[in-house]
Amino acid sequence: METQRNNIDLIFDFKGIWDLPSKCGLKILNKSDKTIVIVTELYKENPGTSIADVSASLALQVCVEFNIVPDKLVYVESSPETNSKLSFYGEKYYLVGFEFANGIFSNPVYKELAVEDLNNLF
Amino acid sequence: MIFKLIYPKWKKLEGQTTFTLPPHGPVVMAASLPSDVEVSFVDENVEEINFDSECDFVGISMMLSTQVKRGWEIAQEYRKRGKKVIFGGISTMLHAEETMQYADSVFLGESEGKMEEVFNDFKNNSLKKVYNHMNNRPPIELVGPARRDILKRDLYNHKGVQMVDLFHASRGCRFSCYPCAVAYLGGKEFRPRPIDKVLEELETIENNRLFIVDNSLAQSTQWEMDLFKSMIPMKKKWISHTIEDDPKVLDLAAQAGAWYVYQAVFDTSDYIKERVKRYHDHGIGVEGTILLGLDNQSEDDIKRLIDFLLEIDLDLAEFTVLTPFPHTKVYDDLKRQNRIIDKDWNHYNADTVVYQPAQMSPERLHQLYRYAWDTFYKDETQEQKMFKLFTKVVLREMEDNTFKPRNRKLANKSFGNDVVRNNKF
Repeated sequence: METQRNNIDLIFDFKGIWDLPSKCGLKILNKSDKTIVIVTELYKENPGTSIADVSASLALQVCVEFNIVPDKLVYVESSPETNSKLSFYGEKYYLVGFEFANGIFSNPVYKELAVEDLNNLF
Repeated sequence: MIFKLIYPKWKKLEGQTTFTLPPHGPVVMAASLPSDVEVSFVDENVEEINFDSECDFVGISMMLSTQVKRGWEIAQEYRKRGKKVIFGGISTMLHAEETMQYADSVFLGESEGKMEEVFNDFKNNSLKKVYNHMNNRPPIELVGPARRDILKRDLYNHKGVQMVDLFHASRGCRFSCYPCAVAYLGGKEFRPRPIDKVLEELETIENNRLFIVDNSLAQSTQWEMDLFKSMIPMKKKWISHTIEDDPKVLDLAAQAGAWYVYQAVFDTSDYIKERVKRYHDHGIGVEGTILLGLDNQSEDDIKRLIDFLLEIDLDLAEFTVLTPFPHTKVYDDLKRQNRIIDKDWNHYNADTVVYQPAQMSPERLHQLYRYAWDTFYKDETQEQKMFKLFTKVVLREMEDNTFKPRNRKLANKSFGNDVVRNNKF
């Protein structure tokens, strides 16, 4: 399961579930009124846990590392094509909404984005 | 000090022939306990728990998601009696946060070299809530022979026939398959045990019939070939998951005693057909493992797949429905798509549809699952097919003088119970 490199500018090391050292792809786009973050699953290239295992915690880790104001965060998870025999999805994008209180994100809610929706975000 | 180690029961699949095998996780974990700990093991699948029998500390070892709720109930019983309870095992790792609510402690990771600390903490009344060794795996060389002496052997016996012993030659998996959590549990790096350690453990197993439970042996050709070569003189007979599809490897596997293998069948390709034939050409039986409900499967696809299975002459087939176990890609995908419709872990037994399939209703998928079992075993029951495979291994054992007759004293017993007379195997 090699990961496609669309929308990856850098590899970000994050703490996965149970502090497992984990890696994801990252692209950050600063707009005047928002910061769009695209976080990409790396599958085999990620020694730790998936980004979906720790969505809320990872969103906070990204905000802290890159000085992103939580209120301005537009958080997108990318699940690329895996080329696995048992997986039948092409590249998928999900806009993830969180509650933010007391300095932490919680309760992720996922909404699938079509490619044109993603482009509109840009 | 008495450590009561419990393996919770789970509900067996409806309509399927069930042979209760001796568990593997508890015997592997027991081998890592400090020498002054006396283990009292109870497998609730074959015997009742006496909650009032003497013990100092309670461990609950869980392998399946369908064990966790029962494990939590057991913990509550012991904690009511003032006993401390620690959980471990792979489904504890899958369901750790929930399990913590019912535990004095949870152990996450592999136990070799880590149990002295846990038991010292217990003795000092300073047990930690979590022993997190998920990222601190022991050197694979540390894995020694499992403590099979803790098992009550007669309870894993059907009409005098001893069930296979479970055994592992490696940990970790480099494949990260879509429905599987092994890469999360054991890491994404294949960690083969040194061959001499494997042989040392095999020497300790009196049983001639084994189930090598490694996720896939097909991860390092040279190691796999070395393993099989070294096993040839032992004349064991064994079941395993996939073996590498290479004539040299298959030939060595057959010589080493490969009895039958579990092979995933996910399409109706000539590749699968030829692969099954190659196993058979080497005298190795094949139990197909068939996952139903994948997003690319329509009703017609499932029916066509079942027809195909009958054409390719599988020895056995085991059907399951896709199940989103935590920490798998299928779980992530279905969670994001809001398609998980049931979070009762007792239903995560792979015959209950707990998600919304892409091309049919959950009810229809379950009907097709039943149709698959019924159709595949229409002309010959599962027990009859199993008996054929059993006969093959007996004949091979007779040829190489390893056959041991059944234990006549247990001829009227089945897993500790009196024999059900209409059972043919």
